[in-house]
Amino acid sequence: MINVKNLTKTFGYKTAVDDLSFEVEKGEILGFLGPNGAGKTTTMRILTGFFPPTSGTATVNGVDVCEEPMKVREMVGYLPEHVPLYKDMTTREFLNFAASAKRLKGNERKQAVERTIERCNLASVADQLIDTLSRGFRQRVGLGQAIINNPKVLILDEPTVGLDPTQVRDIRALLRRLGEDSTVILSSHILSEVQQMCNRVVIISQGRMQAIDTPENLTGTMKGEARVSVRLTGAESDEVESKLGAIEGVDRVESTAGGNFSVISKSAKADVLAPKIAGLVVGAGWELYELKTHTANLEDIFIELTGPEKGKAIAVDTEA
Amino acid sequence: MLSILKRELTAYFNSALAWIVIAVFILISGFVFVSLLGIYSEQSLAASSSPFGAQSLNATDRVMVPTFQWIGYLLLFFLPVLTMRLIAEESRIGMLEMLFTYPLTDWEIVLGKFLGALGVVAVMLGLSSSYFIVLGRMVTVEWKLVAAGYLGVMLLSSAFVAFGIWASSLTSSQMISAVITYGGLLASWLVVIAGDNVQTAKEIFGGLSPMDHLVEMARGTVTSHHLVYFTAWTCLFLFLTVRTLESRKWSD
Repeated sequence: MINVKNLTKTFGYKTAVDDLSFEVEKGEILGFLGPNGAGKTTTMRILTGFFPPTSGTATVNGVDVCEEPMKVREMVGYLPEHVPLYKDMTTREFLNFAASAKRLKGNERKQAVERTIERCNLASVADQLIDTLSRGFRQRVGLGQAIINNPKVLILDEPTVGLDPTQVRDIRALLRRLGEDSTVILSSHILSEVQQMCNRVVIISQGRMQAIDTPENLTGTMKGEARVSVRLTGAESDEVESKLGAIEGVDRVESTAGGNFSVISKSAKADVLAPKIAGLVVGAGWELYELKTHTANLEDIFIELTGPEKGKAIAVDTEA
Repeated sequence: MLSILKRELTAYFNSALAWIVIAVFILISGFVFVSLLGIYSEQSLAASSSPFGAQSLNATDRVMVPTFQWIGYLLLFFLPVLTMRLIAEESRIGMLEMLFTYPLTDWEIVLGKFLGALGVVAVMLGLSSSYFIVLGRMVTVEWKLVAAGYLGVMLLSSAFVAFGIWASSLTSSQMISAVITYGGLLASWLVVIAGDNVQTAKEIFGGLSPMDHLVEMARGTVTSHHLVYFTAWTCLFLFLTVRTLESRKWSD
């Protein structure tokens, strides 16, 4: 549905997007993850036909964004990060404006407006001035204008930012429903959100793609360490450390006050280590209070891929 | 384009702005008209006792042309107020970003806004036509000349509005947009004064003042010369607006 190849966009000397390539299949929800200024918004704007890339190509449903931007715009619904709305209009008036700007006419337009009001749960504020609406409702009106013409592709820039937890839940539920018939790209820096909602995740940093995969694979193939934390009593910490350290695959053991130990391994998985540790503790006659495995989450990967050290590595690469 | 046009008209009439501008315009232009009429009736009364006076006094020269001229001056003061928000405000609230992702060309956006502002002007001028209807009940009015005058002020308005939209596209501040518009329009009016004082300036800038063109049209000389002048002005600034919008997308 969406095909991006070697996309690059520069503003003067600044490169916002650098050689980005990815594909999004029909019906997929793709998450864009990256720190502020990573090039998420720029990429999204290119895909909406807002401006053309400096080089590279992007097609939506086979239509090139440079050659036929108007055709692309008709197929794409976009929700910018700061949702702009005409505050002097009512919800219904605004949706009607969006529908007519998107070339829906007559009866079709009326139906689209009513359908959107229903889909976004806006019936209670349909005839209220947008100026008087709460943040959550405004976000839904914004989403409403994006979906009003049933676009094939939805591009949402930080759709849940600044909402309270209930509103976030509502928006996510709505997005999941929308994801059933359209292809969705959403950007976020809320990692758990991306982990929950997206089929695939693109991590970008400084305009470059750092990773693209399913959230499960990303966390699974995390190169970081497995970590099991144990709390126990009944022995000197030196003794515990040396015995835990002797378990196969364990690289090091860190101890903190109160009988807390962290067993760290680069090769073995936490799930494999945990029963071995439990066996050792019980066998030695110590008292075990707590045993916890830590699996890497998207947050760790995000930090690993976009952190300052990675930034340095990239800088070195470009110099070489 | 119709969606933008409709949106602009809604915005003008939803806010007090359009109503207040129209009301104040009618108030002041009405006052001017009544004053001109008063002077004219006194003079014609005086002239009726003199055998030579009556011929040089006619309602066209004494009332109609000055009225249109005054409408021109008033437009110079009121139109920047109407046009200042057109693009600047969209840009400030971020709506411009959204419009650029709608299936609307830049020309459709600009023309929609242009016609929206011109719509308000049309209402304003339409209401002012009551002066001439009143005049028509008192003396014989040459309706062709009234039509020529209205064509003139409408063309003048379209030129001013086009300039105002361009100024509005340069900034996201309504104030700055208004100041640029006032500056530009006043300068175009003042070239006449420069022309009066300096002969070479008159030769160079003589044809450039919109007010001169308006006065000539109100006198009934609707020639292609004037039509081309106003149309060219309008097209130039609408074109510049579209180019400015394009360049704003790049510099973001």
